[in-house]
Amino acid sequence: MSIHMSSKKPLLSVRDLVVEFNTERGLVRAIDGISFDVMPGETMGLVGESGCGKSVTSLAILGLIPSPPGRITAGSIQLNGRELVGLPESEYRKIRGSEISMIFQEPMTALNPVFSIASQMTDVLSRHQKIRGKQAKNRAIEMLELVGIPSPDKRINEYPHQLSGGMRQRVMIAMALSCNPKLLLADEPTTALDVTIQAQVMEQIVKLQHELGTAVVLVTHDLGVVAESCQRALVMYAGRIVEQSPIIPLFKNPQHPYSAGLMASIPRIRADKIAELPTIPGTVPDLLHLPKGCRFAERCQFSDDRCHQEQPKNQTKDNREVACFHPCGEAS
Amino acid sequence: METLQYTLRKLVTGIPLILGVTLISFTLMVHFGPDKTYDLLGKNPTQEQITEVRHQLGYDKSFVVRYTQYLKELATMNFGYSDSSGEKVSSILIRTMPVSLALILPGFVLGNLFGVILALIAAYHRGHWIDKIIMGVSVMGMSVSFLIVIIAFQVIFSSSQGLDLFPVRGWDVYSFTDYIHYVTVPTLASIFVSLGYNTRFYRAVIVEEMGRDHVRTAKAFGAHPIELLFKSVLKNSLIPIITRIMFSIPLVVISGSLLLESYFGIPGVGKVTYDAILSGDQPILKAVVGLTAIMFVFTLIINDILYKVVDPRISLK
Repeated sequence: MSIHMSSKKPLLSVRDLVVEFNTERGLVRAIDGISFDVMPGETMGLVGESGCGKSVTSLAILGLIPSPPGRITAGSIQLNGRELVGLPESEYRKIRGSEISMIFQEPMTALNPVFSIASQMTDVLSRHQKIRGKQAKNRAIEMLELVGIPSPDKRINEYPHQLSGGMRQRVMIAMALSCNPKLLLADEPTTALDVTIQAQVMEQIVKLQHELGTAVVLVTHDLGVVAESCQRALVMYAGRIVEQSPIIPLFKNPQHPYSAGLMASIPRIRADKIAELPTIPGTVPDLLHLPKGCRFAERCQFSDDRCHQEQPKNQTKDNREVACFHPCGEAS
Repeated sequence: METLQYTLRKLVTGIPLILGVTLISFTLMVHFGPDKTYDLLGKNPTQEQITEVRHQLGYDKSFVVRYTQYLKELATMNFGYSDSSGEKVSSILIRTMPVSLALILPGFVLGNLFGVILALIAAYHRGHWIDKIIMGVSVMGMSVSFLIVIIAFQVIFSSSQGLDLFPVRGWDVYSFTDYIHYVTVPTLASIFVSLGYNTRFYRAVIVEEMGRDHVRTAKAFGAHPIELLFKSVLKNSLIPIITRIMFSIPLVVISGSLLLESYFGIPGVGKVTYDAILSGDQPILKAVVGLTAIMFVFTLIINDILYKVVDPRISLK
């Protein structure tokens, strides 16, 4: 469960990735030099506020950064040692949906409303697995059964609008896993669902991940979901990774002041009532006008002159990486 | 079964529509329309002659009687005889309608087909130079007047200064070769003009559809751009496209061919209608207006049924 397990090769290896967008107001660096590994079969959380670059990260891995205005300007993304940055579209298409799959946030709109579930699922199967007709349909029904959809042989002929939100997200999961991907990118898979359904869908993802051995990158802002289902998490802030750590130490003893702020602001039942839930003061910096030093310095209670002048480098300690001059729990 | 029930129900609700349209046009065109009494009489007619002619023309009957008469004609498709030529109106229409259709149909179909294809290409390459070129040419096509296009195309394709490949005017069709010979230049002109409007409209529809989540899903599952455009995106964009095509049918068939027919000297419905307006030939006008209204009702019904075919979320109830 370590970050750099020497014995195992990482499934996905992202190094110094930079993604920039041309906007009307200027060049925006949505992701600024992030590096991380995903091991085969592990579940990794990618946590952060809206706009911190977590969805862009998952789109970059799939080569789906809308271009123009966006593009990957530096860095590398390797899947099993194969470089994905700069891969021709025709090669990338073979990877999408087969080696790397993605589940999206909005199950209501992510499926095509005018095609039946059968048509959408068999399209993916015939594209990547070269199976057609009855055979493809049977495989699709099998997948729907696996994600817990009742009477899948009937449901498969229905259209997305005939299914509930939870059912649609299950269909998405079934579709995403139908070609046995090695890596599943789940972008806020439960955010749009009811709380009870959220738990069921998450349970389904975790269960299937164990059965099929798929590695999962779970992009979310819901720390509860991360705590329950991930072995490791990255915390992103304003386009950078500020901390990566195994899950238990991250929650027990967050090192970056931003992570600490996030953990503190989770609502929970406390021994003593508190008047107000702790929050992180201030707002995320504008990506067009980033501070010179640490991006969190403006909002950080520990910041000093050095934090405002210099960007902190990653420090590795006990399988944890933190980009901070004054990590929490250390005398500063 | 559902579709049949729906069609019948729509036909019944279409009756008030037909009544409304015919009532308005009857009032404007016939009741307040040209009085032909003195055209038919000589100089210094006697009162008896005037009464006689007014009786023959049916002007002495009350409004209600004349309107009911009109509805009866419409129901039986028997519109009497043309005032100017004395030919039976129904036989004029039977003769000219196929000519108009044959003239208009190729341009209409190709104009929409090319419009959709160009719009798909432009929308897919949105913001790139391909998009900019397609849209630039579209605006050009839209901006140039239909008349100028017709004349320019006649000069280019049909005159001795140009290619001199096709006839400038006429419709002397006895075989398929003749048909191609006469229909090519008008078709090119109407494609050139309609393509601009069509492409711009369809591109807007398709661009909106391209931004939808399910398109991103399809991309994330490795869909080829051709499959993405011509399957996922096109089927979702078909509702506005069908609406536009269907609603332009009655206009195109009845009146849209007017300019083409008069400039290319083709004896179609448009030409007949135009002449009838000029000469105040009421039997023909009554027939054309009534038939247009009926055609609109049928188009609306077919339109709604096509919606259902394209989009499973639409119920005909």
